[in-house]
Amino acid sequence: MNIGLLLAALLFLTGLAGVLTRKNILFMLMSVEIMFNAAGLAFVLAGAHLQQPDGQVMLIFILAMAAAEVSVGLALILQMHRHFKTVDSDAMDLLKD
Amino acid sequence: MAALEVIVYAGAIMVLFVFAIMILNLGKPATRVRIQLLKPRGWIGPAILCLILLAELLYVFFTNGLSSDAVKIIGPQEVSQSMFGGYVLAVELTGMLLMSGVIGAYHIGKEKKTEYHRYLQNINEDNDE
Amino acid sequence: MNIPALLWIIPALPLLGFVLLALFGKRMPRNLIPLIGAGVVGIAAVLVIIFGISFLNNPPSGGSIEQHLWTWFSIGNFSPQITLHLDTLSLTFIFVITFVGFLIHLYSAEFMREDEGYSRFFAYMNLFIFSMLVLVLANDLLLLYLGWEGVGLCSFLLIGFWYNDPVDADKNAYAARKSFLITRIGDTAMILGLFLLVKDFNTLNISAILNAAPGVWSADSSTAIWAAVLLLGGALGKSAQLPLQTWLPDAMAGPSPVSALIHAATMVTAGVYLLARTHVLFELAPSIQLVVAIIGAATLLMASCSALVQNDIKRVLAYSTISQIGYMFLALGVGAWSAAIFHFMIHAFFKALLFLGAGAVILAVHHEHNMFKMGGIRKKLPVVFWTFVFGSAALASIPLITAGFYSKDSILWFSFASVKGSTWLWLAGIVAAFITSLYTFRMVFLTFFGKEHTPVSYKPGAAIKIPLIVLGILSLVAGFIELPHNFGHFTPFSDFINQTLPAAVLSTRPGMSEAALQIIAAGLALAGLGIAWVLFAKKKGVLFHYQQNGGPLWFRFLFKGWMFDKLYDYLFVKPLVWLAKIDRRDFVDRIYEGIGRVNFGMNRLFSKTQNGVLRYYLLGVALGAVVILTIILVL
Repeated sequence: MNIGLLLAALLFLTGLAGVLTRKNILFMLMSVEIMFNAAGLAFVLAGAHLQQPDGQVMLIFILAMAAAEVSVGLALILQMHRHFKTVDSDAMDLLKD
Repeated sequence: MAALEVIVYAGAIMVLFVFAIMILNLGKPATRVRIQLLKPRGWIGPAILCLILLAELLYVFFTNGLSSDAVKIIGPQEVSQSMFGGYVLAVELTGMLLMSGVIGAYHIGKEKKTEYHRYLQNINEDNDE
Repeated sequence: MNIPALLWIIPALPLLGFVLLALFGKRMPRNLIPLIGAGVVGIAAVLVIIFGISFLNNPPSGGSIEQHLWTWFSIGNFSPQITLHLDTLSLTFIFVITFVGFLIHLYSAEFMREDEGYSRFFAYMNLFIFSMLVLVLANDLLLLYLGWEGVGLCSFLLIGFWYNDPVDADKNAYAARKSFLITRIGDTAMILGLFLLVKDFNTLNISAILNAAPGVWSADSSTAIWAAVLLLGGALGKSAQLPLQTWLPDAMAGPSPVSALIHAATMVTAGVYLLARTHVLFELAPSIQLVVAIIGAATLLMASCSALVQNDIKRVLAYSTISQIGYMFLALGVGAWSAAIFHFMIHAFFKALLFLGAGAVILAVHHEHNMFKMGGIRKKLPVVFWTFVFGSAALASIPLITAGFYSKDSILWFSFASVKGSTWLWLAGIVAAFITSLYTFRMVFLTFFGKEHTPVSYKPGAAIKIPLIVLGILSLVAGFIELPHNFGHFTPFSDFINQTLPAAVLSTRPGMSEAALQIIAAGLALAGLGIAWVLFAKKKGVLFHYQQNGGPLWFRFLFKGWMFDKLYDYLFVKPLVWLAKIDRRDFVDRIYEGIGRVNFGMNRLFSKTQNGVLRYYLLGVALGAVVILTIILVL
């Protein structure tokens, strides 16, 4: 029973709990980052288990993608704040029935 | 690998977060919301969900018997060889992704001044009078 | 002239007219509509005359011509065919239908000109002519039933033609519904009869049934009686006899040409046609044939009494139609088949004439229907007056000069002298003949003579006058083709019909001679004329005129058609409405309602999930992932 996989699972679940619980968009984004990390860790462990470098390659990609995503996400949050004057995700309910 | 993580995450992404928080200049209202969240009603649902998921993942891990065998450390040499060897296309695409991310973030974050038609230019001035 | 190959054109022409007018009628120029509508029927009439002459010159072997078109359907060993069958009986009928129909279409070209439903009217009339032609040309009872339903439909559509009328919309719609429902009762009886026939004979081909029936059924067997009763029920509905006669007086809500065509000349005689066509079945059930005669006699008495007290000129004619068809049923009941058909033809002429004339009068006095408000018209509308007088004389069977005398007289003679006749039937007929003459001339004198109560505002044009004149002449001279036996042996019409239908059998009972009966009938007719003159022309109709719902009991009784409407209301309508009311919230309804309510509830529940809050959406995603994972792990 690989301890690393357990760590990845715990990290993932922590991130998930954070996303579902927090109302502040910024914190939700941070929790998503945690989930990204967990997924990358899982990849690395898989690569180590299979004796291939592909796991670490995947991690680099995931990292780069996470960075890009965070920047775009933060820009969107800035716009949202300008529009709604708050970062509460419950305030953005314009898509409701 | 760990060094890479620290550089990217603590260096870049967290800095971005801090920038954003400072720009948004949130204050008291946010903390009030956080207090409400600490009450059980706020986190009981997701907690239950995550516990169920944990149980299932553990079940999967245990039944599939992943042993912690001695692993051969794969050095950065091999990684870079593989990256610029087989996955070079993906690397280029990632570069383009980063570039588009930068440009997109700039555009989305730009503050737009509302442009009125020239006949409506006086609209704000009229309100003041 | 290859009749068998061209027979299909006769019904196809009105069908073509209907299709053209139904599809393009709204966009046609106004003057093209009657050209198509009346034109197709006119061409069909000409074709019928040509075919008729050819038929008379070379009578076909076996007495009939058939044109087989196609097989309708084939299930097991039951396969009705679409075949057109032309023999002397159907030749007579299609002649009347197309010829009188053409005259009525010509009349409607002017009568309905101002109406905005001009093309719709002609479309429905053409469809009606088509259905009626199919009815009489059918060689298969199923095809006959198709025509039967078609004429019922067209009657409904045409009675309720003015369903948008700002004043009378409800009345017109009610009359249309009533006619359809009551004839529907008859139609149901008829279809049950058809089922019985299929069960026994395995086919509905008329010739096959008529040939096989004496072999399969013994006289007065219960199946024969049931089949005859059910077919009779259908005929009673369509022909407005007791007990299904209540729809015809209300059907006068339709335009006058409709009343002339459908409720005088053709549809109401469909019942007569059916009984004549299936005469073998009735001969196998003599008790039912007696019932036919009794119903005919009772109806004609009842209706003529009611006609005596009506105010509305068209209602007089409606009750008169019921009464005259009662004569035809009486003739059918005593076995005088050709006399019934003869009376049908003559009646079509004079009754259509009377309805058309009434329509012209109504047009002239500003749509006033009440006879007591008319008067003094004869000087203003001479053509209408004289033709109306000819038609009325034929209806009252004024002796010797009118066609009605010959036809009604032959019926009265056979009702007395036939094997299946009796003195009582003759007595009913003769009393009703007197009352007929009385109410007919009451109508004439009230409408045309005396002081003018409503001024004449519309003089009819040629399109109205020509049909009136033609029908007027026919009402006088058409009787000469069938003279009574003691005038000589000139009976071409009954010889013609007796090629298809059996001749009446005279009994050997001692009784009065035919001449005596004729003198009595003639005397009564003239007496009716005289009394009407005294009562209504001289004293201006003070008798039998009461306010709408007033007057002594006997008057109200007769006025409302012997209160049949009220009887049916109490017997059928009120219990049904009561049942429907208490059944309004039963549990079966609750089940269906419940399904609807459950759906609404679930909708409300699920629409709450679409609240736009991001967290709930994420929760949904995570929940879904967990569920799928669980399913994969467990199964």
